[in-house]
Amino acid sequence: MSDGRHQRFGTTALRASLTPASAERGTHKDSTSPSFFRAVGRLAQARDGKVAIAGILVIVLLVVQTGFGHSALQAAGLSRPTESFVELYFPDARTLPSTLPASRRLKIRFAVGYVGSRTHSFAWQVSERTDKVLASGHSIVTASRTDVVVQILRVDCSGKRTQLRISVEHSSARITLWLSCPSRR
Amino acid sequence: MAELSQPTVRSRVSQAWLRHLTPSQGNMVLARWLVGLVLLDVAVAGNSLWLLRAVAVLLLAILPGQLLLRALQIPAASIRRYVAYLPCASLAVLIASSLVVDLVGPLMGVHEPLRRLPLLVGLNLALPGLALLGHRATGSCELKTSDLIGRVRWLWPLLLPLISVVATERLDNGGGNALAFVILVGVAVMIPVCTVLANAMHRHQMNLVLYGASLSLMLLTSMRSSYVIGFDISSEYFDFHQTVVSGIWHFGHLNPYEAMLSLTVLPASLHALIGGQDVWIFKLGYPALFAFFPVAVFSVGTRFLSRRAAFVAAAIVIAQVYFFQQQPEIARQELALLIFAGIIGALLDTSLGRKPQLRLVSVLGVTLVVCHYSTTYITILLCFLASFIAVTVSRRKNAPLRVLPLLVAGAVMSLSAVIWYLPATHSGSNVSDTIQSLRQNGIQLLPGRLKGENVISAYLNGLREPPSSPMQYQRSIATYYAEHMHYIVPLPAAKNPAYNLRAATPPKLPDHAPSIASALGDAELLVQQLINALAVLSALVFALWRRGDSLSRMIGTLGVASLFVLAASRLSGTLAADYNSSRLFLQCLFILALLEAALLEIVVARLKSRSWAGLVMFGGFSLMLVVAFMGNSGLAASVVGGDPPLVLYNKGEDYAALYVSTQEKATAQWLAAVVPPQRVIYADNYGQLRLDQFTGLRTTVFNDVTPRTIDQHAWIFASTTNVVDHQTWGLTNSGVLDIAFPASFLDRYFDVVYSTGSTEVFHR
Repeated sequence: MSDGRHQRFGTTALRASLTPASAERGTHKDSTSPSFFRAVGRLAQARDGKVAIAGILVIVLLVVQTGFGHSALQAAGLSRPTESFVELYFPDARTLPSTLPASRRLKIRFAVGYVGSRTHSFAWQVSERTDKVLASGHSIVTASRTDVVVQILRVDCSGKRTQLRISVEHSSARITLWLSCPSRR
Repeated sequence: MAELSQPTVRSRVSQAWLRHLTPSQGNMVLARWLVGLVLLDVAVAGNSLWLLRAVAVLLLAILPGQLLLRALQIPAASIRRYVAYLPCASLAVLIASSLVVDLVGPLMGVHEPLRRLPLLVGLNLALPGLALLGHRATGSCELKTSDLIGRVRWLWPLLLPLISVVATERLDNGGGNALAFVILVGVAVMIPVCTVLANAMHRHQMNLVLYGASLSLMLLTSMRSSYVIGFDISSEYFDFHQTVVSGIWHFGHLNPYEAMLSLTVLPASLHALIGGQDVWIFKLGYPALFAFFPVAVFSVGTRFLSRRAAFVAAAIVIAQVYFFQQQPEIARQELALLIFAGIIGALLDTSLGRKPQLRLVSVLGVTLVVCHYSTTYITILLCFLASFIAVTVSRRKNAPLRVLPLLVAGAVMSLSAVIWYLPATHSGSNVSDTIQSLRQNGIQLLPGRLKGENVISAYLNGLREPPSSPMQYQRSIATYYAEHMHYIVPLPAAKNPAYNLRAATPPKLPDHAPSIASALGDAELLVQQLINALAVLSALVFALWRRGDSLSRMIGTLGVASLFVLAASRLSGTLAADYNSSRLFLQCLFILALLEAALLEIVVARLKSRSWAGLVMFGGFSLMLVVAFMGNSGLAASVVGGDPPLVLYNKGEDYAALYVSTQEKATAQWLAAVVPPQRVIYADNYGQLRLDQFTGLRTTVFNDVTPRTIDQHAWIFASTTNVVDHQTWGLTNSGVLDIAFPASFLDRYFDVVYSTGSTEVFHR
């Protein structure tokens, strides 16, 4: 990334400033003497600041990847925090019942998933037509895993059909299931 | 020997020995390449470190191109004057090397050749091979990278893309849009200021300003969200990601996307060599390459225009919405247009010898063929049409134009296209589709023309239909499904008037100054039409101009060829439906923008007795471009009101349609894992983009999420916009219609089988 003319000038300048000092002292240690730094400085100047800019870029790229760099980026609002959210679903979504058994007892399976970086505890509840709570409990879900809950419920089902609703506290996630009611004898 | 004294002999021997020891220039060059190659190996091997990743990116962008151009004996002076040769040549080498590794790897027992080690081995064979091929090149072909940059203080425009990345991160994290405003205002100011100062600025300085401004504008769109943004790019990303996952690409019966190496082998190789998330290649890497497009316009311009006029030509491109907002959403065409710029640059490069020129256009022509089909077809058409026009015009004027490079480029691309699209990949379905649609529908001349309307008015209005209402859409789409899709059985309850479609009102920015907004809209339309009219006029002037030099006349013939192609797509409804006219316009604008600036320069030259003429003409034109840019970029909307642009806000039509969330990704992937093979899936026009990007559910997904078209056992993907904003879209002949998501119907008759709170899947 250097211009040939500048490079020749820079190399000559560096050599010129190093040679007398090395010759006088005759030791390897001399290469880090003030004249060496002056020579490096002159070289950098001769290259029109390219060395300085490259140096700054190298330092920035190295620092950004450290823990300190990450914290600094986050503090500046430049690092995207890991998104976390709850997933609720029926694992057997393809074969969900559409009719409540005559016994009005229903075995229901649902999964609580957590997409995030920490373990979370979720309070869930199953209700009928949003007002009558049929079951509730807690699921402890580790990061990016799911907990499958199996419940046997007694569903009232008073009209032609009813809706079960499963929800999680502090989340708008909800899943629902419509069931036709068995005829009352 | 006997006559020479002993010391003399010793001296001659030692001089010969010294000459042997002193490295020749050729050896020095070879040593420099070897150092570069070793550095590339180290950088790729340690690409988990950002520093080495940055080094790998720089070396991959420069080193292969340098070696190829040297092997083709392209003079360094030509490359310095046309920087775009370098990324084009690097792409050609990387594509060829990766393809060879991909094909040869399995024969040698490497089952996943598109991984870091096999690709690096391939480069370690290809690059020294190119270095050896170029060992006969003269010193004039030795390019020093420092020559491309110039002075350090000229590098400041490269800070603009960095600010853009920071701006999008802050906007995504809810940190405000101040930085994005800074970029847009900065570019708006840059256009007239650089127009005024252009003649006093160095060519490299202008290159850097144009590159920095172009890239920063594109990144404001492409870097939004953690995923890709846009229509085509969603499907493109899926094919790219599949190649990354499998680590190999095969020939065979492929769909057009799978057959394009710009979407499969190349990005997978770049990802393997550079590291990081694969999506960065499309979000950051491809725009960084495509940002050379306006630089290329400027570079061609400087060959026959003043620096000011060349800058204005590049600014015409930059001010277009389909350059900085639409193009980053079409990955394959970003690369293809860059290669196209390389081909046109080489065809119009009078500093190249005949053989190097033909070699270069041939290499780039083959590269274009494997990058993008439509750009290839248009380029072939332009080459042959321009040759025909050039022969016709030069015969009349008795001043021949060089058409051989055009013919060779056209022939090489045609032959390569036939081989690649037919026996190699069997992917020429887009051509057969166009032919079939031409057979079925004819050319459909001005299909939008109303009864009694004149031809010019119909041409200016293009394809159009009166806007539909939600009820009209509901009726027409239900009728269409009933007539053509008998296997779809909607629920009887769908006919309940309570579930009739309603219009949705997407969020708008408050109208602060309706009269100014209206005036700006009119001015923007006027400017755009003026650019179009100027393009027509300038192409004709330069093709037929008797006093023009051969270069400007050759550009004129290419301009007339571009006009033919544009007119055909504008006049024919069939062609317009098959290929997006704005994408075609951007390709043709590469030439037309140059001719427009050249026409302005002629006018200025005629007024040379008035010293202010140049400044007023070009300054005035650049201010017109600023007006167009303000409208296109959304700056005007943010000031006077209207639809909030995606680059500035976390709301608005584009945000709702295109911004992809992690919840949507999770929902799409869950759906793809759960649905049986025999199923009916619904997702609205934009919800489909999420399925395209993250799943293989690209076919037989229905986009009409209306109660009267939803099958009673359907699976329905509901995006964040559907669930949270209660909005969906209906596709009509007059465009996309905003309608309310039929949540009450779905809640009443379907189960919610999956939910994240902001996304849902319905099933019954």
